[in-house]
Amino acid sequence: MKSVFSIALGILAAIGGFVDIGDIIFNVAAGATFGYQLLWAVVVGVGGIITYAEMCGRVAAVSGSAVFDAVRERLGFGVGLIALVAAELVNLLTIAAEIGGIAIVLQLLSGLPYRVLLVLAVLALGLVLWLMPFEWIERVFGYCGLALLVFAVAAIKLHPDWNAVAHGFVPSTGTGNGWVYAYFVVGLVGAAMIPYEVYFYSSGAVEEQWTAKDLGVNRANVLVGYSLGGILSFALMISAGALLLPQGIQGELLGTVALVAEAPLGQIGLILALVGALAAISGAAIDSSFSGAYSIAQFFGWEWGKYRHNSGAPRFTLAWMVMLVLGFLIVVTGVDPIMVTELSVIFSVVALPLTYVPILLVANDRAYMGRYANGRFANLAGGFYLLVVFVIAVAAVPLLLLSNMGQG
Amino acid sequence: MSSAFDLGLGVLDHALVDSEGRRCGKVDDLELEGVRDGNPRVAAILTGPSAWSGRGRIGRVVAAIVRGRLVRIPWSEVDRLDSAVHLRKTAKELGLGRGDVRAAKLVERIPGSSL
Amino acid sequence: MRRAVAVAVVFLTGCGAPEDPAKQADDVHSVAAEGALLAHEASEDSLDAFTTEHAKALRKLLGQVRPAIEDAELARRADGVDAALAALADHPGDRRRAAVLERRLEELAG
Repeated sequence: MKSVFSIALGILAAIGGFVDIGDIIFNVAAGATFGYQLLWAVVVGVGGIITYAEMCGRVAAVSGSAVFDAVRERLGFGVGLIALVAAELVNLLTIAAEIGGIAIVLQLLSGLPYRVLLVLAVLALGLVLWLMPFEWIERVFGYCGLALLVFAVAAIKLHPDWNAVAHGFVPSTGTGNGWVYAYFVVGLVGAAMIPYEVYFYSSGAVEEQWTAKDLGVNRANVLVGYSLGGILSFALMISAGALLLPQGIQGELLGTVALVAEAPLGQIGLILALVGALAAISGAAIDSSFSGAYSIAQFFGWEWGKYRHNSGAPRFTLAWMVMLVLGFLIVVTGVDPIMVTELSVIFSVVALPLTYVPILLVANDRAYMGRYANGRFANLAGGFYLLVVFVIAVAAVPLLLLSNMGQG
Repeated sequence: MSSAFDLGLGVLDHALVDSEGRRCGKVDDLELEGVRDGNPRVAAILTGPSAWSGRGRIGRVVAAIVRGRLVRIPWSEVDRLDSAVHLRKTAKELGLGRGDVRAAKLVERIPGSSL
Repeated sequence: MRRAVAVAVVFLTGCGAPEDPAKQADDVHSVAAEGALLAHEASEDSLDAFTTEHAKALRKLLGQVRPAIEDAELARRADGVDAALAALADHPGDRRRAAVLERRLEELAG
């Protein structure tokens, strides 16, 4: 039974670790393009990840099995392998995007060459993953990610029209280019519900050896942690909407994101924004690399987990190393990491049904869950979000093309 | 008994866990007996890449590419069933998890591998 | 199927080089306005590395639009923005120069 203090620490880590480069890019671009009109889309996304992360955590705590274990059982070997390959390909794009993002932030801080920083980033990540225990990794990057709360302060200091902000929480079709608006809806929901998050969360629960006694911790982490984490997304969008939209500044560079915090708050805002972004993106690079390794190990039945120590789960260890290296190879080609970020989110959206259907199925399975199987509310929410996920999965690629990747 | 048979079918693709709690593969296929005499039973669990050739077209293709071993675990070695199949012996005794043994030789060369 | 791939390739490679003059004007304005903001921050003391690197990133962004610009006036403005950003990147710590560049970029933003 964890102490309140320990639960609070877990929540803080969840808040700080909530955003990754996909959330940062999409929320700021949405703010710069549509002001506050897309805040409701973030709410939808946050609701989705809360619903499914709670399920994943519960499955892991009760059965000791992470979610991807169940993918093969639910979908069979053939379809399951397709789901694995799709998940890994999409995940690689995500890892590449995060690594690229780290290098960009480091470049903004240091002025060193981009490619050198890519190598540095991968080596540093590898070292951290090799040496640090699981909980330390999550806590350190989670807490440092809290620096992004500077955007909440920035949002307030920029004096947005709070009336308009409130209206943004109500779903609407928005003004302006309809295809671009729809593209952002898909991107924002997709960035919040990106697959590696649930795979990572459920495996993380097993890493921390949760049992049925930790179901309360699970709920607290998810409900409080992710809701408050959603505030970071709101803050990014609101501050971008308040600063960038009126000046006609398009918001698609990480430096632009940092400027949004610097304008109202000066140098301290800039530093907190850059450090927070560095921590959040690094945490995401780690989480997505591990997620890739978890998925393949869980599909084939290899031993896995940082809690087994590096040599105790050797194929798993080699898997995350390979994921990091492959991600690095993608981004060292010089491809624009911001574009890779957008593509990684959009292609993740296409893969979302393959991610979420098995979760809903296994959370209802009494052999796995006993009396902790989904209740009516979890199934209602789960079913609703499954519908959302199917709709955006179908719409994602057409909207990518029709909206010219959000450019209109 | 048909209920034992259904139980056996129900473990397909589930995880294998040895007596020490180590994960050591998946139930890749099942060896059935007594189907023709009307008394179907699960004789053994089959695990390993070769077992995938019985799992549809994709399974055949992957089995041909990977070309791994096949390990046969008699049903008598099953201790209990929950979300995973728990076995009575260790992975080493059953000849499972050899991939990890080979990979461990590589990983152990790097300092800090016990972390 | 092949046509879909071809469309996808053309689309992906063509990304970021708008042909529409109104869009081009928006892009130039965006870079100029953001450059002005960056210069403003630099005039009030920012991080030198950040000022330089972000100015370079803005120049790169502008460089993607510039080749397609046919309107002479817009091209002149774009070149002016580029020159101002280059000056900012080269002298990030010079606060007085940054203040001058801020006004220049504000003019060019229109």
